Order: sequence, then structure tokens, then C-alpha cells
Amino acid sequence: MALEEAVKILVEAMTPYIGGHMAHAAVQSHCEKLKLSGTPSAAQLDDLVTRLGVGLNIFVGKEKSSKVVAEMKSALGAKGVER
Amino acid sequence: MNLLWLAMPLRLLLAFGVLLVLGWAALPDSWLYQAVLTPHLLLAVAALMKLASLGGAALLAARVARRLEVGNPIRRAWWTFAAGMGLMFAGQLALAPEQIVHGTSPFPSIADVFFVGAYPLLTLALIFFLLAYRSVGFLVGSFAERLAIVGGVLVLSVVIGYPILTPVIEAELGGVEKLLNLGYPVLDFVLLAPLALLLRVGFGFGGSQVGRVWLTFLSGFVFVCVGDIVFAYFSTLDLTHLDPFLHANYILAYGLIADGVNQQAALLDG
Repeated sequence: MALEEAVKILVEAMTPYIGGHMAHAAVQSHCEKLKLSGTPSAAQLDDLVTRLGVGLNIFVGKEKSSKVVAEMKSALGAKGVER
Repeated sequence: MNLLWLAMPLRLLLAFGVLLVLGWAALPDSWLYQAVLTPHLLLAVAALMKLASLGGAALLAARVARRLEVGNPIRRAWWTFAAGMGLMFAGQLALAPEQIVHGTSPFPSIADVFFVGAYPLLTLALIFFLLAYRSVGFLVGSFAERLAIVGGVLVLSVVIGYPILTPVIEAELGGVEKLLNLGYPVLDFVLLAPLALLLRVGFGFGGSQVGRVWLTFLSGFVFVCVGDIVFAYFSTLDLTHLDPFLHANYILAYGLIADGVNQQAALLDG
């Protein structure tokens, strides 16, 4: 899956909680830190989702952030990211 | 237990309290405010509303901190904030008997020991919030932008502080009173730097669930700062007829902070 498509899925999942602008900024920031581009591997996307979950955790708590992480992983899986 | 159901009735009560006190400020000589809603009664109502908001904010903040797991980077910020609000509550509790029984607000008083003690904790809490944001990659804006925000606050503090604090310095006041009238605005100007940075992040959340929490919470702090700075000016120039505006301002400030913390607690409770 292309990074752009993955970014779109992740931003969509986080938007209700932290807003589209912040969700986009957070995903972009972590993509830069992880040096992601092109078509990242499933492991790289897993790492990205985990980091986003840690960020969400400070606002919505462990339970809800785990739920969002699971939703993100499931959405990425449905779009063809192999695990 | 999710306490979000309490939010709307409490907001209505808060708005009613603010309007009542603003009415007192606008029409102090009217029959309503001379015969029914006397200044003594309104001062007592204001004292109780402030106590409820400060106590509620302290307890709810402790609840938020407890709900977060050990090691969560924002946990210490909530604990520090709860301690700061606890001291604000203690200060208001020390002031309340005088306000309720005699209808006066002595200044300076023992309450100021608690109020002054609360500021370093509240400032530290805001800094801890910023550090928590940064640790998980949520601190928006470049270093230069953040530097510009802090610089802007510094300039604003000088521009606002100079005309407001000059009469305080020149006034013939007792040592403690003068120190407090200078100290509160200075403590607020210090608080404004992390507050401005947090507001920058808060606006980034827009109208999302987290955005509503932070904008409510932080706008309460803005009103606290405005109240303290204006209080120093009013108090020094003996503009006591403007006190109702200050009471309305503080009721709103503490109410918004409590509302924000309640929303955060509800967000964690799901």
C-alpha cells in the first residue's frame, strides 16, 4: 500500500478525537521520523500506528487509544497490508 | 462514573451566576440589586460558585491522573495541576467565611498564601502538558514559531504590564499588599508563556473531542490571567465599584477550567 493511502486511513481514524489538522500533522511528523516513503512495509506501518497510539493515549487513555490502534490496523489490513 | 451529564446543567448555572454578577456590575443602584440581590448576598453566591468550581476541578483532575496508567507522560501534569487547583481551593476556602458572613474580601489575607503557592504548580503543570505533547510528537510549529510565541508574550507583558504596574509601584501601599499587587500579575505573565504555547496546540485540535476539552480548559486560564492583572490595577486605584466585574470574571474562569477537566475525565471514561 502506498504511504499516501495509509496516511489517509490513519488520519481518518484519528480525526474524531484530535481533529483533521492535528491528525495529519502527527502522522506526517512520525512518517518523517521513521523516514517512510513510497510503499512502506507492514512492519513499518505497524511501528507508525503504535507511535500514533502512544500519542493518542495521553488524551484519551489506554483503553480508547488501544481501540483506535486496533481500528487503524484493521483498516490498513482491509486495504491489503499483509501482516 | 461518567459525569458528562452534569456538564450542561452546570454550564447553565455558571452562565446564570455570571449574568447575575454582571447585572450587579451594570445596575448596582437598581431596586433588584439594592433590596433583593444585595452585594453581600451576591458576594456569598460568588464565593460558593468559585469554591464549587475550584474544588470540582481539583478532584476531577486527580481522577484524570488516577485513570492514566503509571508512565503515561501526561500523568504528572494532571497531578501537578490537581495540586495547584487544590491550593486555589484552599485559598478560596480561607476567604469564603469572611465573604459569606461579613460580605467583605480582606486583602491581603491568609488566602493569598495559598493563591501564591498555587501559581508555580499551575505553571509547572502547563509546562508538563507541553513536555507530554512534545514527547509523543504533538507539539505543532517549528522551534522558531514557538520562540516567536514566547517572545510575543514577553512583549505583550511589558506593553500591558508597564501601565498597569506603574501605579502599583507608585502607590502608597503596605509592603505585603504592594508585593502581592505586583506579584500576581508577574506570576500571570510567567504563566502566559506556556499557556500561549498550549493554546497554539489547542487550536490545532479544532472542534474535535480533544479540541473542545483543551479550548475550554485553556480559556479558563486566560480569564484567570486577565482577572489577576485587572485586580492589581483596580485594587491599587481603589476602584472597588468595579469588583463585580472581577467576581464575574473569576466565576467564569474557574467554571471553564472545571468544565474542561470534566470533559477530559469523560473522554477517558469513554
